[in-house]
Amino acid sequence: MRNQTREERSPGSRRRPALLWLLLPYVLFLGVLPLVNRVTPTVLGLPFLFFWVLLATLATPLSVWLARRGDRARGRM
Amino acid sequence: MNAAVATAVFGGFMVLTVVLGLLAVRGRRTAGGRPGGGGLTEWSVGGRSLGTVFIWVLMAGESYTSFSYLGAAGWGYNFGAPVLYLLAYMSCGYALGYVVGPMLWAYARRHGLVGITDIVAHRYGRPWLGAAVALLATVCLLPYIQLQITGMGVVVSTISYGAISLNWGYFLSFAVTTAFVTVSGLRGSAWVSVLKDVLVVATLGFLAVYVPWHYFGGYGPFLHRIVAEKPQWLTFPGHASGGLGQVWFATTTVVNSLTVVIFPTTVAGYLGARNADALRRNAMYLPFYNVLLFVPVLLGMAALFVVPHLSGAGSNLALFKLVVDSLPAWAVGVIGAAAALSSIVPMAVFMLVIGTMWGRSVLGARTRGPAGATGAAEGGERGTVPGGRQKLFSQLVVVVAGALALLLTYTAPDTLVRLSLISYEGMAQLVPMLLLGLVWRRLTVHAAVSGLVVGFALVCVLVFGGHDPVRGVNAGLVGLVVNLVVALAVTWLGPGAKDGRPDAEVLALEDEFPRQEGTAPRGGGVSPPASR
Repeated sequence: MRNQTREERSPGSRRRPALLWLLLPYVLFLGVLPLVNRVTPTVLGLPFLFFWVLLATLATPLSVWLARRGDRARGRM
Repeated sequence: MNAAVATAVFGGFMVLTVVLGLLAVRGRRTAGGRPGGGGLTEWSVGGRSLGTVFIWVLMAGESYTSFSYLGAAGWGYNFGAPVLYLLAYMSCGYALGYVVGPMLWAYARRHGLVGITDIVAHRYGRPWLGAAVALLATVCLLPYIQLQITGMGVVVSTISYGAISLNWGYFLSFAVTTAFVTVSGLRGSAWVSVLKDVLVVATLGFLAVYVPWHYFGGYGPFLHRIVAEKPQWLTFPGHASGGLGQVWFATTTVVNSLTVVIFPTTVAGYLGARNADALRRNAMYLPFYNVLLFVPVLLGMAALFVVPHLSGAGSNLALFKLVVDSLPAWAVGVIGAAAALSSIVPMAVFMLVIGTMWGRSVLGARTRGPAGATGAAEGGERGTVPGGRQKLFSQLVVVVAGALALLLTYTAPDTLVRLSLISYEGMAQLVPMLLLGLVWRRLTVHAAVSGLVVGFALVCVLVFGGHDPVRGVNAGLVGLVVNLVVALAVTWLGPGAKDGRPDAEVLALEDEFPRQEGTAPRGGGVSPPASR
């Protein structure tokens, strides 16, 4: 039972480039912060920073979806 | 009259909560074809049987705490923009959970583990380490329980128009939570979360529309007025926030998003999942819940115009001042119930987690030396005698921990926000030991412990010495970096590990992504398949 798990797991099979999508929220929330830390222009009445944070919040599920899509493609291969 | 109506509505929901929590275990004792299904695994992690919907409800439920209602509104009221860190770290943490959740789930299931202390004890082959981590985590979590107790007390006394005193409100939170969680554990918490999420979504959705309309004549005028009159609140570093600038926001988001994925309550949610894909789907759906956090933030800022001059702990009531001021008593009761449940659900999971850690890793620790594969799997997975005793210990500790937190609330109350930050920054120090340890074999027990001790001590010094943030940087991140450096240094320079187990036994290599329909672990056979 102990040794059979070392089997044919080549390093390449663990590489999951699609996981890089999970960094997208960090980029949106943190990376571009200096650029979006402003009141104007207001979007739909929201101060720009708050609009941006709302946008980033809604983009997070998208980034996870992209990561998952990559994983699923890998899993089916 | 108002007091009677609001209290009655509120009381009705509390009764419903307990009933729902208790109903959750009905029929579970004998069901599922697994004899003794009422063991520790069933209680602590719901028998690893919760599907996508329950996991969503539970994890959303436990992350949206009384702090979200009180502290978020209070921060919005006092500082403005810095409160957005809540949305940022929770979103990033959910994204990170896409990787970490399935990894921890698969590891725990394969080795029959029920919590982070268990995971650490197994990874390093040292039961005492599990006990030590349990102790540390308890110190970090107790303030959190207290936070929920005080939060609920404040809400109850406010929405009952003062008819229920603060002290009785505190007691009520303890009584309601203990009543169901000792019996029904994680599954009960998940069921109560359903009621909670329905109420929270409905009431916050309503308030988001109603408050701006009632006080300002609509969203347009409300936002326009904020932009015109309170621009200081709308960008970093916010209004009079004392150093909560962009650097603080970025560092806090990074460290908190790393911490939230290993937070014992989050992990309890992970381990309760039926399969790894339920967690992956949830990583996608959970961030939507964060949109709701905008409501208390915006309403906290709206309160600036309606009830100016709140200060100190009073600002935590920014949202509820509006509610009581503008709505009929029955609606106040409903909103109060939603907020109270936002204390009860997280509190239930906090208490459950403390109970599990102690029942499993401290009082019920295996005494046969390093946890081998078989010892770890037997512990409670099949409800054997040790598992049953561990469960009893756990349930007792739940009551003790809750009572202790209640006592602390009466004798040593404190403001909400600082406590939660200390908990988080302290808990962050477990990240290298847990996450790095599970993917990197060379990290030795000496290294992980040294890093943890140094990092935790540093955080305590910084936070209690009043040096958080350090030049704008979150003290938890400072601690984490030092922690990591120490851990790496000791790994490379210190004594090597004498652990003969194969990598597959120690590391979390297989994350069980479904391949060709099947989810069975390839190295498995240690524990029975959890999906049934």
